[in-house]
Amino acid sequence: MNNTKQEAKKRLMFIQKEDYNFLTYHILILLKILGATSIESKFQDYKKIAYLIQFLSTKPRFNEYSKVELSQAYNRSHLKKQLISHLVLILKNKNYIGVHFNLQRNSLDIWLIEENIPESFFDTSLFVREIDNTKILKSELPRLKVLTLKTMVDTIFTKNNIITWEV
Amino acid sequence: MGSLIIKRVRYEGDHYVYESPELNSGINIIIGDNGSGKSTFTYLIEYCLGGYLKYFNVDNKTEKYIEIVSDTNNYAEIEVLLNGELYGFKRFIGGNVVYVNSGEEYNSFPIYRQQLEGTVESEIFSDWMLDKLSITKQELNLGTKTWKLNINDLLRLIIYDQDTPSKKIYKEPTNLNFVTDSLLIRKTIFEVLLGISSDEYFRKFEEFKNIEILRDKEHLKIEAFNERYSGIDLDIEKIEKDLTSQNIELETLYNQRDLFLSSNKKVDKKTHLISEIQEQIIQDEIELSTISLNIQANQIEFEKISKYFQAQTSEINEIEKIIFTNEKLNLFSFRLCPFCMNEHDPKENHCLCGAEIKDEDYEKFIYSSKEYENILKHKKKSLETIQTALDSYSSDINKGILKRDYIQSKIKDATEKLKALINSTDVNKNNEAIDHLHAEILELMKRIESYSYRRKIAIEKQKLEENFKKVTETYKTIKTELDDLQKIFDKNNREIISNFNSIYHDLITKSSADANAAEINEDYMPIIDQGIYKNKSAGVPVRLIYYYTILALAIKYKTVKHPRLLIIDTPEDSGIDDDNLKNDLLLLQKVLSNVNADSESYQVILTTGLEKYPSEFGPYIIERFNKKDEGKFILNEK
Repeated sequence: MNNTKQEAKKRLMFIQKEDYNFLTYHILILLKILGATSIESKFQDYKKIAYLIQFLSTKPRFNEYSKVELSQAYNRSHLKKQLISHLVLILKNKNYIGVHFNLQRNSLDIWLIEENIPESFFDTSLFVREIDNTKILKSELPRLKVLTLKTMVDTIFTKNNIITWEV
Repeated sequence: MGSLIIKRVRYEGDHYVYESPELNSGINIIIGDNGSGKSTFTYLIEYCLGGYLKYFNVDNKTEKYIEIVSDTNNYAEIEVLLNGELYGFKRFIGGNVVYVNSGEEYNSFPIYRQQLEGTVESEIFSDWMLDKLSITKQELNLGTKTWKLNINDLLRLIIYDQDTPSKKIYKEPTNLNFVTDSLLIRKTIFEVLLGISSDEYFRKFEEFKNIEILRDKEHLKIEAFNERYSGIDLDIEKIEKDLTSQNIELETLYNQRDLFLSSNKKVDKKTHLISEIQEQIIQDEIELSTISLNIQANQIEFEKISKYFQAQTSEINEIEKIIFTNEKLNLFSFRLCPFCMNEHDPKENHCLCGAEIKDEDYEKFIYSSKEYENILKHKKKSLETIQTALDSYSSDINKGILKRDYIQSKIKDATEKLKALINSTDVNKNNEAIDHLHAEILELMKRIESYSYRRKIAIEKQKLEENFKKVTETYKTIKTELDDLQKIFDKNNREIISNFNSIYHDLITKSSADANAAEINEDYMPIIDQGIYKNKSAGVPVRLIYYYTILALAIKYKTVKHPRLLIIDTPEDSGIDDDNLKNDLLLLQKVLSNVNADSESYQVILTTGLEKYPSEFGPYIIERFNKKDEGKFILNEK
């Protein structure tokens, strides 16, 4: 009886969009598709990811979102920032990604350490949609790896008339 | 024919772990003393193939496998070569789902057919396996019960276990009852494995059953139709004739009326009729707008729910990906702090770092595969509920549209009528005769309408009857074809059976059973020396050689469906002495060389006691347990 109670509790607590594994596979795919696989080609400022997850997991073309949807996405992204900062630490400890402190931007740059990812993780048809979404997003946001957070937020949200605040 | 070769066996839980060395094709021997885990080895294989094991069931009061049942987050996993392709089958202990990993794809299948009820999925693990092994999924009817062939049933002639008394030959089924152990089912298993029940025959049989159902349905339709319209004359020819004559009559009346209209000049007041029709139209319009509003509201709801349905479906997809990621990357283990990467000793009610806690501080983030699976199960369940809601809305909408169309056409008709009336009043002059004519025309139109309706029903009836006739004819053809096929296959089977008998006889006479003759009877059970009782230990060779013979036939004939895998779990029971046992085991080599077996094409996994195997088999030993002297038990503590 106790067991099922515990199960039900965990089930209720479960928030899909904030699950660590959920965020993990999006991050790994993003780094892989963008080619951020070494310190030289790092993804600058990991905080950008918090804003991207929504588009990677559903519809990648942010210009097609309604104003309400977009502002919801913006608000939720802020909540994800902290989760992702934890996750970056965990992934780094597991040696799945490399991390470098960017003094200029006062943030962390990250890159994928591909040889430590279990083989067959990327060769599965499971992630076809995520990979496609990432590619589309990549074409919508040129120079995504080095873009500053502010420019990216401007392109996605401010230009679509969403009120944003200091990030 | 398909082939199945086990490459590796694995077990993992929070407390124990085991991983076998790589198994080869050909013969593999696992030796060990009592209680060291030889049987566990075969149980893990059987469990991953979707078998039911009472030893792994928590609710089992008497015979629990305590190390496994009390372990947590535990699963069994095997790697197999299925028709030369590598797959991983994984199953949580106590779980009823097999996760199949083919390298590229990652699928899960329920084990029991009941799990499919009401879900979107349509295939259980067994269906998938049988497809891969090119075995037709047969359905048999026993009284009121229907029984569908399951991979589990086939395992009864692939796994030689120790729990079944030797003279029963077939491994005992999971839930022993009069259906599962019926002669019909045992015979079917034998026939399916040896390929002597032809796929073609069973396909035809299935076709026959389907057409039988269809025929019954058509028949029921006709009966229901007749009941509904009983007492109505549906002679279509007569109806057509009457309709024609009535139409002519109507034409005459119209002409008459036109004549009156043009010749009469008196003013008429038809306002009463006009206002009546107007009233009707207004009421219909009101109803129409209510219905339209309703439809609209329902449509909005429908849209909303289907959006939710889509979101839920994509969430389910995502959870599957989450499970995959969790297993591949294993970000969290309950023994390793994800932040400092130090091992820690998990203590109840203590945090990862050792400080005292409330569980809720971290449990939100860390889920085990089993918990993810649980979440997935519930999401899928909720999907069904949404589907039900969707269906009900869609049916409401359809009903509304039907009604709306009906009222719309009613309004249209009334409007036309009204227009005609108003137009005619301009020129129409009152006249008793015209009123009378109108009444007559109306009356006649009503009659024509009723006849038209009857004609429609009559046509429907004709169609139903034609359908029934057509289905009955197909039914007859299929039945004849089925009968013919049955005859052919009865004839073909004789060759395989006689081959079975010759191999079986040859081996038995060389075995420790001390017999001069052996064959199988029409129920495929062995008859030794025309049925004279042998001592109990003779049961071992009688059963063992039965399995050898099937394997030999599978190697020899392409038509045999047996996947050329034989698992023999500790055959030394029933009091057979060691020399006899060694002699009987050696017969395996003899039968394999008789059929020129290429060791790539089959696999035998034999578990036996430390000294209970012939010395010739020494090179085949791949795993050795010794609990008593060396403390080497299958499961190692983590």
